Amino acid sequence: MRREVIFTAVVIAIEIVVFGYLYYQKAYQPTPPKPNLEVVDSFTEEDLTYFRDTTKTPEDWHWLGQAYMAAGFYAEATATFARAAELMPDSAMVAFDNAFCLSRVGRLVQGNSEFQRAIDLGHPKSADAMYFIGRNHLRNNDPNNAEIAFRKAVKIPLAKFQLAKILYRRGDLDEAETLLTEVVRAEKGTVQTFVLRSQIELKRGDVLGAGKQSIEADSKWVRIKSPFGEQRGRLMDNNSKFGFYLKAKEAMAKVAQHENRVARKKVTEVLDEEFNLLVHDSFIKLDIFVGRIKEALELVEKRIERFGPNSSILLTLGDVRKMRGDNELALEAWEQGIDINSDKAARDCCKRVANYYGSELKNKEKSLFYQALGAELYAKEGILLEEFELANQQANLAVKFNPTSAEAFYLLGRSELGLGKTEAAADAFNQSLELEPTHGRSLLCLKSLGQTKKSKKVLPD
Amino acid sequence: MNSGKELNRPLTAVLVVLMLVIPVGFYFFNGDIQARGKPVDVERIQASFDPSEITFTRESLLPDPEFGQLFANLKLLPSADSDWLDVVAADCRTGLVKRLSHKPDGGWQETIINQDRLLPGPGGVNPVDFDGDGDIDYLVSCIGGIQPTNDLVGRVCLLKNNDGVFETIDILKNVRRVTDAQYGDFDNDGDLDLVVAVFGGLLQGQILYLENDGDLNFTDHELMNISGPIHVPVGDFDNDGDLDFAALVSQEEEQVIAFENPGDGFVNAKRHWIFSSSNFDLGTAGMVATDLDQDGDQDFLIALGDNLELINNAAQPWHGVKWLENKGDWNFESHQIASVGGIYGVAPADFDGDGDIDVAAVSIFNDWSQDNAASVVWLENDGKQNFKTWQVASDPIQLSCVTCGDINNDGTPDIVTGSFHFRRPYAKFGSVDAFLNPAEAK
Repeated sequence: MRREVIFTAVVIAIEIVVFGYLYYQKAYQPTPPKPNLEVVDSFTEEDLTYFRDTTKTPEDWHWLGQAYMAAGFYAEATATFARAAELMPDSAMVAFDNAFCLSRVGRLVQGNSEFQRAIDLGHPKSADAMYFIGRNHLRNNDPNNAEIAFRKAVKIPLAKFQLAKILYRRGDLDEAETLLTEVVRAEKGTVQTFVLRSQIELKRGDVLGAGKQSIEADSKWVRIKSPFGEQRGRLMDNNSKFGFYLKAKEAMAKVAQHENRVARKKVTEVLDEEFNLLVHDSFIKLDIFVGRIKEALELVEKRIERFGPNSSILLTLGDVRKMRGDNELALEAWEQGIDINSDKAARDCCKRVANYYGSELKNKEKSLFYQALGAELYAKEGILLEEFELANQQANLAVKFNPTSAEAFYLLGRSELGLGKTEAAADAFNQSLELEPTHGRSLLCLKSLGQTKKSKKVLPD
Repeated sequence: MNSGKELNRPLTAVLVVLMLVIPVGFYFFNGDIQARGKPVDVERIQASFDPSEITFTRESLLPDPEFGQLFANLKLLPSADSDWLDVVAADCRTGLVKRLSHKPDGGWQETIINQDRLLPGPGGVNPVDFDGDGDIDYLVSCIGGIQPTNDLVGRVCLLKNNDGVFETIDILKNVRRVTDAQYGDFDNDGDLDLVVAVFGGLLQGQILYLENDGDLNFTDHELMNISGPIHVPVGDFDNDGDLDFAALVSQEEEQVIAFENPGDGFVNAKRHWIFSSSNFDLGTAGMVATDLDQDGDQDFLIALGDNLELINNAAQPWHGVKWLENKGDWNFESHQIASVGGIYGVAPADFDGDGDIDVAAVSIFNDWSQDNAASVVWLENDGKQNFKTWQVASDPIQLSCVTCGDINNDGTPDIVTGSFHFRRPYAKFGSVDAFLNPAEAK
């Protein structure tokens, strides 16, 4: 019997030692770093504190790293990812995120070694990881190793484009151009390809060719798809999973769903915490929608105070003033909107002003002037979007209503050019230069057509 | 013996139960064990520096703001009616150009220059008698607004002084975002021409030369179609007697391209690539021309610290200040003279009165999560162009522009900074602030 007692006592002692050791191991394992949460809003502070306090598993560490990175605590994120990598040495995802974050803070060598580890562990986006390795070599002023990496990641059009750029810089223009052609085949009409082609032509001494490419680039707005853009999207997505941006997203969703009472409460909560343009704008929309025009006006004025005027907010200011019956003040806001920018909102301001002069003030001349200006802006947008039929239609209206506008004739020329009518284009550019001999873009376009400005006709005495 | 056995029986039972309870208990409570070890080590970039041995005193030139201000550029010019210097500020937020002058009874007063029209994001301002009528006009470059856009929102405007009443005249419009316009009589015909940095929208930027044809009519020449020219400082960089200019290009290809004036303007200018880096993320944000080593030619100081590609910026180890030393014949040698996160503006001045040129620098994107992160530093020159970084201030934060001059008339150059505060943390706001250099620094 005594032997049994001794035996169980020994077993208990061993258990105490073993489990005590395990407890010690667990209880005294490293804890996540604590960032300075005073620099963020209280929603984000609360959520990050909760994530940190409940981090136990390796997956928790991985998520905490992502949350820290999304909130901009990069130094804490790298430390957290490093711990996650220790706990999950076989996770390609953790290695990739760790690498991205290390690169973000300029720790390029460590970043690249983690990207390589992600590749070795079979990350599903291994080519992206290789592209990032090349990118880090570039950031480290090492184009030779960047070239090696981009050649390995060449199935990604942007890696191929980067390769073309390296070759262009080195003076290997033919191979650069070949690669560029392949990029264009993969992703048509991207702005970077036209810009680089223009630079290649310039380096070859073909100024005319370079000019043509520049003009093409001018109306392009799509960029080559970027692995960095994808990671940026992931970060933004993570950002809206907690804290301020989650609350902001929820508030704006309520506005969109017209759950007005709940929306007002949520939007106010968010804006009390931090001024956010998107949320503030949705609050303005909400107030207009429910007919609280006085409150809407106050919000518009507050926005202008905080972020200054632009066509878009001046358009809204005019609209709100009009709703309040302050017609002259509305007109003033819309006219400022036209004056300050040349974008879509400015175009809408033109419409409002033209309409106001036409229908309320019965001033046909001014109404036509603003219609012409609106058509000009419409044409400009059509050219930017390569909708040349539309641009042409609007530019024709613009020159009809305002035949003294050099800009309108330039736009007419650009639209004709887009439609392949080079002679009509040249005529329009010449007319633009007749009106304004210093109109640089008309000169440039004319040059790209291989023509020079026609000399002014001298009328006989 | 029997009684001993009976005594041992409950003890054994207790021990057996204990033996079973310990592992089972550990199994169940294992998940609830709170880690309480040391936090993992965090490696941070250096954000603060030795406090300046010269004690600069902060003076706000405008009332304390309740929210972030957006000043993009500052210039100093002699006051019209006193011996003091005035400060001219381009306020991107309000669309106004403001002149700040000493009040006779102390403090500063603000005068709005462009009373007739709001400007679309004034990002650069140059006081100059542009039309040669003996009064000061203002040349303003407009970025169109603080949100990036591909629209044609950029402008160059002249605030023309008509006997003290300013008229806003568009010199250039229908272009993408404009970040700088500098002037000079480049073609030697007696009037002032312009060089313009059209930063661009996505990738469509330009470097333009606007040749003055008289009566404020200009012929625009596109010198280069390139994304991201940000500053175009003017100077005689080859010491041949005419004005050249250099363009700092800060997007995609970070580089400095100098345009050599053959004597009749830039239409046939020779281009020199005087600095380039394959690091597309270098963060070049500003450039000024100055003879830093006082060897008789113009060098450049470059601010490195732009970092706007993600919603939250990160200070980089290569951020700071670069000096491009003019070695003659369009050769420039690059030296990193300070490493400070997020530097956006630089200005030269002799702060310690020892005869060499020091440098002031301001940071927009330092690591503000560190309490004492520097927003204003000065770099002390030991006379051989070795620089020691001294911290001047950590409040206000997020500063974009700096200029230096003796604004309190005590014989020493002061530092004037402009705040461009649009990101977290929303604290330590500034507007236009002076850091006054004590007279004893002389």
